[in-house]
Amino acid sequence: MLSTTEHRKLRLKARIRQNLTAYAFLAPALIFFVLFLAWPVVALLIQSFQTGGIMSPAKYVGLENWRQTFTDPLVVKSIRNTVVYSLMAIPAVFIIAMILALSLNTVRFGQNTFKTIIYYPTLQPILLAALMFTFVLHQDFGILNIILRAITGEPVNFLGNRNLALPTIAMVEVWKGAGFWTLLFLAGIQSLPRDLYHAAELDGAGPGRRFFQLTLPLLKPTFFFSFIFATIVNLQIFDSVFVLTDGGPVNATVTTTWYIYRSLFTFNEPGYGATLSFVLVILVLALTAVQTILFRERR
Amino acid sequence: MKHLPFRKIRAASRLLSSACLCGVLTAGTAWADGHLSGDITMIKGPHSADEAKFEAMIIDDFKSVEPNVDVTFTTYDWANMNAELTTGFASGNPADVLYLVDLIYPAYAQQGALHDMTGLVDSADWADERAEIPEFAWALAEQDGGTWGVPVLGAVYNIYINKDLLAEAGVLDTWDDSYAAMMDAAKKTTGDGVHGFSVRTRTGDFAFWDWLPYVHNAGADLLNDDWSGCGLAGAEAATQFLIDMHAAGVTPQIGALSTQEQFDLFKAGKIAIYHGETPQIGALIADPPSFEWDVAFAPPGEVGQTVMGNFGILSMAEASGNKDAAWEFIKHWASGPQVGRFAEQVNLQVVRGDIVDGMFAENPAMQKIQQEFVPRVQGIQPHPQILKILQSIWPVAESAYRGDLNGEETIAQMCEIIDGIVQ
Amino acid sequence: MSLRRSFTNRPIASLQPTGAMMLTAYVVLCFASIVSLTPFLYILSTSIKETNSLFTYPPDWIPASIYWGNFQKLFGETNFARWTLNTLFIGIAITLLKLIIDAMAAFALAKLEFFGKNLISVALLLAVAVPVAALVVPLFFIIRSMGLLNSYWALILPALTNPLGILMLRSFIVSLPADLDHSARLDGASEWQVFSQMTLPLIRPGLVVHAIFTFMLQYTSFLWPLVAIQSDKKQVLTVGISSLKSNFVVDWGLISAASLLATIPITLLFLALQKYFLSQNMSGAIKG
Repeated sequence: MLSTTEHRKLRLKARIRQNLTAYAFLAPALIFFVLFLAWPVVALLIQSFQTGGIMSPAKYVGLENWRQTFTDPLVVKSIRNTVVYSLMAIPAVFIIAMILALSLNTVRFGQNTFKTIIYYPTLQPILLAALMFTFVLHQDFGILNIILRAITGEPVNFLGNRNLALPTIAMVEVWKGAGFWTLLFLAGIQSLPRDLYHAAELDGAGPGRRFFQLTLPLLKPTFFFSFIFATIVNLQIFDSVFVLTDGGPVNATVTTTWYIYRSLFTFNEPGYGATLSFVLVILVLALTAVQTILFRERR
Repeated sequence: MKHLPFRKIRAASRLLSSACLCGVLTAGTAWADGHLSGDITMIKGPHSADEAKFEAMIIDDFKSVEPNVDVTFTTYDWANMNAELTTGFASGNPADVLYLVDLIYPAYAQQGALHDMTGLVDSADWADERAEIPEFAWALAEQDGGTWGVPVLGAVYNIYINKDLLAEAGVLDTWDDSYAAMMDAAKKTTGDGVHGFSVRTRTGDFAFWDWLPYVHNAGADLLNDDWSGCGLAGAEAATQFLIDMHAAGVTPQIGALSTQEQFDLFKAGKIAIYHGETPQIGALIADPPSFEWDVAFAPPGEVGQTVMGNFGILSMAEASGNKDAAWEFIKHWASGPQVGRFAEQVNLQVVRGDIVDGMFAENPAMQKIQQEFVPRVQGIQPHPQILKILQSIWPVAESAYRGDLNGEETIAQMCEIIDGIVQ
Repeated sequence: MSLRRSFTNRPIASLQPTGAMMLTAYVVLCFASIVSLTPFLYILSTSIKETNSLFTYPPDWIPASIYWGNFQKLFGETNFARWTLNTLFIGIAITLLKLIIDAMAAFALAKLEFFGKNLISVALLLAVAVPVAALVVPLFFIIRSMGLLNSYWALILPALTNPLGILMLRSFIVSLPADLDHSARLDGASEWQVFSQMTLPLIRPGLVVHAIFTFMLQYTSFLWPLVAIQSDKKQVLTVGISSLKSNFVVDWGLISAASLLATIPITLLFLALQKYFLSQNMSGAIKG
């Protein structure tokens, strides 16, 4: 028979062993997590009080970067553009993906072929999508303008018009992203409990009522995760801006990430870039938190 | 900071082509005897799709002089040159030899990333070669009392005209007499899918190159004489002229086409007066369009008639571990036979006076550029922040070209931005 | 019971799709397919034309003869082959490393009790919402201080951090029955044995989905390679192809040929692992 203290000692030993084992499993992931994610976020804050550092040593400048951030009209514009872009791209891609998912769910033959074709653009780097769209949008030989000219007689200035440039960037992202969300929503629809639908059908509910009263409410958790995920990704929009418009025309497509990149490299102002980055981190975290709270309350 | 006397530069550049320094092209072998060894890297933006091939020729020739030095050639992307060069410098292992344009080298020099080459270029055994490069070009490579590279190439921004279209409209001989005549020519040639006039409009296309000659012709420049503030006062009318051109409907839809897409339209005979740059001459010769074309420059302004140009220097990284070999290679690259052949291959201008006359024997357009355009070149003011200035003010011009602002408002807004950066 | 079986195999939202519904669905899907594929046909058509015949109006979609020059030039005069190999090498290296790292962490979070477990879980959840694009500036400095700028490691190491992967694999492991590993532990198996011999085989579908996600993320990445790599020979496909646009005279034929070929590796992967790509597991990957 072991005494209580010995018992306690053994239990403690076991617990230490268990902790050691667990942390051995966690170690590689934790090291990378700290080094390349947690520390960079802290470093952002430190760098936001500095200037230089790439070729010359960094110098502390106090609140100078922050003062500049709050007075720079381009910062406001970049945040506005980023949010407006997301507000266009996310609902558009979700609605289109939902229609495609319902259509895929309806057809009997060729479902896999259609799935593959619709998913295909999602596989490609957004950079390639943007390069391809320089052809599609071209004034003279772009397919979209050939069609539009045949209908209206006038080509549309997709990338040169201030009011169209940002929606055009959103269009590229929707083209690329639709396949991903389609398959995601389709998986969601197909995993819904079938009995409910059968019961609803017996009750005489038509396809429209079944969609709005059953499918949509039941898919809420899927939408919740999708929406948060899409927000995080879309607020980082950079590649297609870099390829298609480089921020123009008249700064109409200046996004926050694009401005960070430009501060770091073109203007050699890493401190300012870090400040903008910190703003972006806060923006994304805040929007994610707001969405989480809203979805919780609605549930 | 040394401020460059631009009027003098222009005067000196006039000498560049007129002075026949009768090329005795012995430079390539002047210092031969392969005593160096090691590896060096050179980085440069591509002036041609065949850049690597042309560089290999230069490196092969270098091999016969310095058989123990291995030169690796890499390129940076023009649109992204600052990012790539910065990464190179920041990695502590940048390319040994760097081809840098006047737009960006001052910032690197200021931060100590480049080697001060004053002692090297002033050395006695290179004095003859040094003398072939005119003083105005050396002035462009000097900042803060140091010399940051050897000037090798110039790139002129010129206008291409479709002579058939202008002749059909009866304005071939008059279109460049004045801005009014240019407007008239643009209007008369516009129609039936043809645009009379185009300038580049996007920041990413460096659209300011096409605007600056009009500014310079009015006697203005980005910065004032001592670089203490905005110097654009006086450029209002010239800017208004370009605004009017866009308002007159003689251009492609504003912002719709990149400069390359505009060039494609020009090649297809659909633009009468196109603003471009000289490397495109190669494309027009290789694949001749169905019409007669020529090179030209903008009509005279209130003060002068200038041509916009950039200059490129060969610099050495301060972090280079093999500066002796790097210097030998720079001297080789900058020597008459090498830089001359390269310039002919890619249709760029040389700054050396001794080789000008023999060049471009088969290429009348480039001869014209070298003889008539280069003397008129007025480059940029190589302020360390010049790229930031240009990229920050350009959205104002984009806005103006779209009809939001008149010339005066444009210049006023630009000056506010410039003053904010330099003061 | 038999009645039930008869309809459970059918798609549910269309228990009895009418002819009109079916027709509408086909029209929608055909239209979507055209929209999806047209840009690819554009680059296909452009890549087999000589550059000077590119800009004719109306365009000649199907050139009279196929021109292979763009592809020859791509392999002869650019580093395209190198970019492809780099992308594949980096992508595969990251995928393999990340799989093992994330699976180990997920196992600990799902199956083991330890001090700070909640803290780590919450940190990971929060970290999912940190936009990686915003970390470019500090990452640049961290990688530089490690002396790794302009090396493959610069691309590999930061990519090993993506908390979403850990959370996703955790949810796979949590859903496994607990009895199996309990009895294994009673039989004296070490945690490593439980992990490598019991857990890993059981979560294979999750691992494949994770691998697909990781590889695709790497394959499509652009901003970080643009920032971290300067040497053309170490560059990846996306940045390499974008650099082809940076010439005084843009060679659209060449760019199209490059874009077209760049779609091939990921297409092959897709065809090989199609059932995983198109399966419901992908949604599990997002919900974490």
